[in-house]
Amino acid sequence: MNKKFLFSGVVLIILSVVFFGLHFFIKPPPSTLEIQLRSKPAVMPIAYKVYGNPEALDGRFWLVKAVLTNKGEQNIKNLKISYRVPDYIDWTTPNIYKEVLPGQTVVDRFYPKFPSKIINVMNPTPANVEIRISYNNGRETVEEIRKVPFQIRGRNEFIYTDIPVEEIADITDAYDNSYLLAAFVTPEDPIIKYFTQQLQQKVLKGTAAGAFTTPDEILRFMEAVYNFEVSTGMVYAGTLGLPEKIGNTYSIVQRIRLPREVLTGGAGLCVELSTLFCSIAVSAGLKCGIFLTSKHAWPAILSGDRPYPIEATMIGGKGLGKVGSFQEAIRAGEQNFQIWATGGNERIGIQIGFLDINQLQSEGIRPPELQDDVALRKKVDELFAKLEGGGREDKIIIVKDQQQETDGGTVITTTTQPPVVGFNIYKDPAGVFSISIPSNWIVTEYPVPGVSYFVLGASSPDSLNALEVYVLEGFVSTDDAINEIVTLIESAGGQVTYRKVGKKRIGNRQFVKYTGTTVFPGTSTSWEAYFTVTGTGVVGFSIGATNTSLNTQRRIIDRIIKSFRVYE
Amino acid sequence: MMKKVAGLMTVIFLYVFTAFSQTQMEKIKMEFEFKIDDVGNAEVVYKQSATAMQWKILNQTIGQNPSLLKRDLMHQLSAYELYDFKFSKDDMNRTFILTFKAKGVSKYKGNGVWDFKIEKEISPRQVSKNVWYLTMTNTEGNVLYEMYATLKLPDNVEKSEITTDEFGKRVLRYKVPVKKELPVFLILGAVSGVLGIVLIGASFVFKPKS
Repeated sequence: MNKKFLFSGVVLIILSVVFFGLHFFIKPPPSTLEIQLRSKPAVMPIAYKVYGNPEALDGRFWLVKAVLTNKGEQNIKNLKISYRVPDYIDWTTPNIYKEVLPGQTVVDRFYPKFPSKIINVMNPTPANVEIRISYNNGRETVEEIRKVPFQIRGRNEFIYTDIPVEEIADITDAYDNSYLLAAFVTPEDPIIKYFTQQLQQKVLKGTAAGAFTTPDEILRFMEAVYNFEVSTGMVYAGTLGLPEKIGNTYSIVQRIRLPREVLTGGAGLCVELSTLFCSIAVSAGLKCGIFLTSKHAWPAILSGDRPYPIEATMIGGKGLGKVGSFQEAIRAGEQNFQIWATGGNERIGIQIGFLDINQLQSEGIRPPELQDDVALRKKVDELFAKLEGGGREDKIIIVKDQQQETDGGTVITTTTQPPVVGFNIYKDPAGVFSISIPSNWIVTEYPVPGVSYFVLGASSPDSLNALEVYVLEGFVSTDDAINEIVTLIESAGGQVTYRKVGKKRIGNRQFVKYTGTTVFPGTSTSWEAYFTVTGTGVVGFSIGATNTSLNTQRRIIDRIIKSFRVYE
Repeated sequence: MMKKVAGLMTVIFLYVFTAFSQTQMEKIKMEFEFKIDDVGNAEVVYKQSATAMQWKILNQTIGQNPSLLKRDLMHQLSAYELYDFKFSKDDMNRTFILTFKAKGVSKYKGNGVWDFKIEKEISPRQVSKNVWYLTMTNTEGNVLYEMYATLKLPDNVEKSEITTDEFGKRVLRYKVPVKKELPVFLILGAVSGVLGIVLIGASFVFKPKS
């Protein structure tokens, strides 16, 4: 026996056993998955169908985007990603990636299919989206759940932009979400459909075969809708749009009512009157669009190559002092369109865009599902009964070019006086100021979250007048204070022009008076502001009128101004 | 991806040419290069030349703030993770070059097979084993857009072909060899085991010389 060979052979056998052992017991380290989550800070219930559609506007309306990278040296296997929104969406069927190679990145987006009950959310509500990620890292199956907070806004709230403040380059960026206004056009709403049927039956008395193919038929339809609104006493009335910080964005958040609410409520902002008009028109089989500027919105029927614009706000209202005829509304709409086509002007605002409602809805910007409502149908019936019973009860003054016109040869005037309202004294909890506010105004403390110096907001029931009180600690001049406020508004896409007009004594203090105008989409607010320097900073307030003159409510406004007191 | 990038450029150029393309036909040639790496990420180069008048208007739009282009691309291409944007322009030759990188462009199907989405409007032509030439034309108003793209797959591609995925979408499917780790310990164990047995056997056959 050759002992050397035997010894070497035994050593090699032992080594072989060791190597086999190493093969089975020593494994490469498990892979790690780098997870980056991006999310949107808020969703608008009105657009819940848009968020659920990955195809809508190139898929830009995802709620969560997960970027997952294999940072290890082994393949990750069976990567599964699932999402849920507690109370709204149960765990989704997981997206499965069978293998992820070392260094490979997987991008997974979540388009939440919210149930229609989300449309019942009336106020901003905090919510979470949970992301469950499981995978085999080469050694074991790993599962983790991450949570991302977001807000579900009220169903009437519209956020005009998602673009972060530092990315806003021009005014159109402040209206980047404008496309979503198409979701407010609700031709399939049972109430709108019912209204349209009633209109066709009782006002239009039917339509000819091939209806709406001729300009006359289109104008007949538009006239029927417009005159219905005027005759049933519908008025133009603003709602408040306030700049608000949402995540890393600053946006105007405007309360926009659904067309059914505008129709049965009898009042609407320019954009609301536009979405109502388009809802009825599309329900009747027409194509409709909305022209949008930084200050205004108005609808147009689309036929062939041309739009038939109409100034829907010419329905006016007694409080605004005038009501335009259908012909005037058409003329004004056409004039606005001509100005819009050349980029806009100071009066109607800067051109933002044109919303082709039929086109946008076909691309996925779909309105919410709305339930039939017996009470609202009854309300529609009452409107038609009112129409058949002689129309508007309120007397109307038709004013054109500041001259009172006659209607049928008779000068019509109104003698109705505004109702007398009481005042409540608001005392600042910190003891800095007090002010009298009409008892029927809606008062909100700290109306803009995160802006601590904006301490009080109040608005009239019709939202035409608004009061804002500011306490800016550490400021030493009123000019600096107003500049700070203007910067806040401009960062939210508003445009402010103002000037210092002198001094005014209120109570026992001297205030610096400013007057100015603030413009947001569809709203132009004229305001006066009064600021005074105290021992700790600057205190003051502004009082404004949206889309109307401050002088319309001068008596009430003067009383509010005179009541302001500062305590030191 | 090419369609979306080209679509965004179309929108920009449409804006640029609206001002002066009412009467005459404008032709725009867009050049792209997509370089795909071995884990499905892409490096995209977009090169654009312009006439004197086009250049003037381009400078007034994206030339003033190219970061807007980045923002719009990130909107349009949210299916990918975009990063490392670079923008340069050559005023003398009226040319600008935009480059960026995108993660997650090709989808891994397993066994070395990858899918790169090719929209139906694009005409693909294979140039070599790993290079494809993609073209697309589009007309908007009086502007004719011609888009040309070179798609470079990883050098070690074994096979590439146009086919459809499980959802019926058209894809360029390509296969790269799967890297397999050699089971070093297993091989060593086997080799040493065999050698050991051979030596032990030999110890009985070859007796030491006395």
